[in-house]
Amino acid sequence: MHHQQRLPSPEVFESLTKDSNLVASAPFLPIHLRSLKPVPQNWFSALPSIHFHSNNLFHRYAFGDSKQNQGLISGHFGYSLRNHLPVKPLILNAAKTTLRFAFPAFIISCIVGLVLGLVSTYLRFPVLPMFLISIIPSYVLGAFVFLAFDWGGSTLPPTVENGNIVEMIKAYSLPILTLVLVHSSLFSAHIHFWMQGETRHDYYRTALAKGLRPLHALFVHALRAILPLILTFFLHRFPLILSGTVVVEVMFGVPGFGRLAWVAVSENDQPIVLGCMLMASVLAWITVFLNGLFQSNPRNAL
Amino acid sequence: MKTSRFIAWGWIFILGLGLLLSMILDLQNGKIPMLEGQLAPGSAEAVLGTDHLGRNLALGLLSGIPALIRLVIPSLVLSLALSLISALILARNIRPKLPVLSFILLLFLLSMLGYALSWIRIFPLPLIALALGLGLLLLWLPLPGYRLRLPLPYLIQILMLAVLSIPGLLLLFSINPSSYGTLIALIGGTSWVATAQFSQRKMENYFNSTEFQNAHILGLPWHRILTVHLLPKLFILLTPQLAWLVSGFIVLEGSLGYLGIGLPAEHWGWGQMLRLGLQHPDLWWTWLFPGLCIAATTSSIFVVLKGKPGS
Repeated sequence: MHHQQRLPSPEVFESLTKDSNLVASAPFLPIHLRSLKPVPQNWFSALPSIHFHSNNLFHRYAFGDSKQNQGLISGHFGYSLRNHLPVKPLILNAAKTTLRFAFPAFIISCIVGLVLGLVSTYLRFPVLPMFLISIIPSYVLGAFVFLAFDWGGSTLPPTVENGNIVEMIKAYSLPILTLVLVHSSLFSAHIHFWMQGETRHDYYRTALAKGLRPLHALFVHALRAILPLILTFFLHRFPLILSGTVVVEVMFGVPGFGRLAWVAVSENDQPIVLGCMLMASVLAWITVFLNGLFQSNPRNAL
Repeated sequence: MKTSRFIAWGWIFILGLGLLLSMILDLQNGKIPMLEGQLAPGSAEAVLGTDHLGRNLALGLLSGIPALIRLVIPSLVLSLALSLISALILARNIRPKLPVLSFILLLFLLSMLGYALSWIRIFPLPLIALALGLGLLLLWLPLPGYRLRLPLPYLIQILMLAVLSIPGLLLLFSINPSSYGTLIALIGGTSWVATAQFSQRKMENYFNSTEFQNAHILGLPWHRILTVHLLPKLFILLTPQLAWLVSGFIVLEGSLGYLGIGLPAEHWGWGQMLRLGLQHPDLWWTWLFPGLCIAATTSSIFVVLKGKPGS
């Protein structure tokens, strides 16, 4: 509710900040503006100022243009154009909400995908149905989940923050189910495909010929051989826990990271959009770096 | 497997017929005639019912086919062109010669001028140009007449890393293109890396083969080696890779339509229809048919391009 509060425009802020008494007596202003002191008038303040950025919005965003906005280079993400609130806490809160359901969904998907992939390889199921489920878009899968489990709006809206764990699971069950369907089908299809490839190798056939049980040969030897592939694949998909949940959040009304970016784009709120983009990219850079680190070992190289 | 391929080819044939029909009925750019009944179920006048504006849903589904093709095929061509060029540069280690000082000065001055005049609105570009320019200047300043070999493979590898770390959907959001050209450039420009890496490996195998060495020794020109010998072989190997790429483009088009962002105003696709349909979950015909169309199209394209199960 606090975030939705309408605050005065930057012009009004500027007129207010000229008078320090007025600033001190303005309790509705954000803290960073309440503590402002008026700029001392020196002889050089009469000179015309030269701006290299020539009113370039992105330069201002990156390097700042005032004491209040010191730019991205100083770790300041700027202010939302819609409600003039600082962008960083808005994005961090939204990311926290997203991680609350996307991270458990990713972990569940990894486990379910691994188990399904192994079992389907052992039972020699065809791999095509899993691939087909994995390429069905999340908005179609989410729509069918929504219509199957929320007919009449019986589930709680996914906005529970401080409730107990049961309420949270109930509230986030549909987004988690959709994400698990999307991710686990993809994971299991790939694991199944790679395992099938391993079963054609000579070492696997030799192990079977020597009398090793197929279950043991598959789950211990073949799985160990494709482990670098699996870990690389999981690392590739990891950044999607933040940036790949836009559709699911919009569909189920989760006030998370993707929905914040979507709303910001609809309202042309560029600082929030750029902040979201930067945060998602940083997560992707970290995983690319970790992937490179992992593959720098010759045993793990693909 | 044969049954699934037969069904997939059947759906693609239906899509082709739908495209022809949409061209005959002039349904491009989302021009669908309005009927009187809004949100009406199927009838003789509108076989699949009508949406909230009284538009015929069957005609809406037909108009989604040219919209999809208009976006997917140019993006695919651009993505393939970028990936093949990058793969060739990486596989052959192509480093074109450039005059050192003119290159540095041109790059630096153009980027700074563009930034100061607000033509370039991406802030790190002048910094990259400055760093690159200063680095090259320090390395080659003692030899101003030396012709630098531009480290193109290295730059492409850096670009690949950068593209891999860009979240595609968020990039489309943040730029929010209003024309097909920009949208196609963005989709094609962010989806070429996986194909390029795959093509690079296959090209390296080909350039190390005796077939290529024989052709080279016999004096076959480069364009003939590339167009007659390399590309046909490469395209056969690339087909399963394209299954993911094309399906991904169809999903992306639907995602943008579903979210109502990033598509030109005249674009009317199945994603938009699904979004509007889900506002009335009780009226099943408004959301079921677009959802089925998207799922069937992605699956069919995937099955047809993926080919044999082991490929």
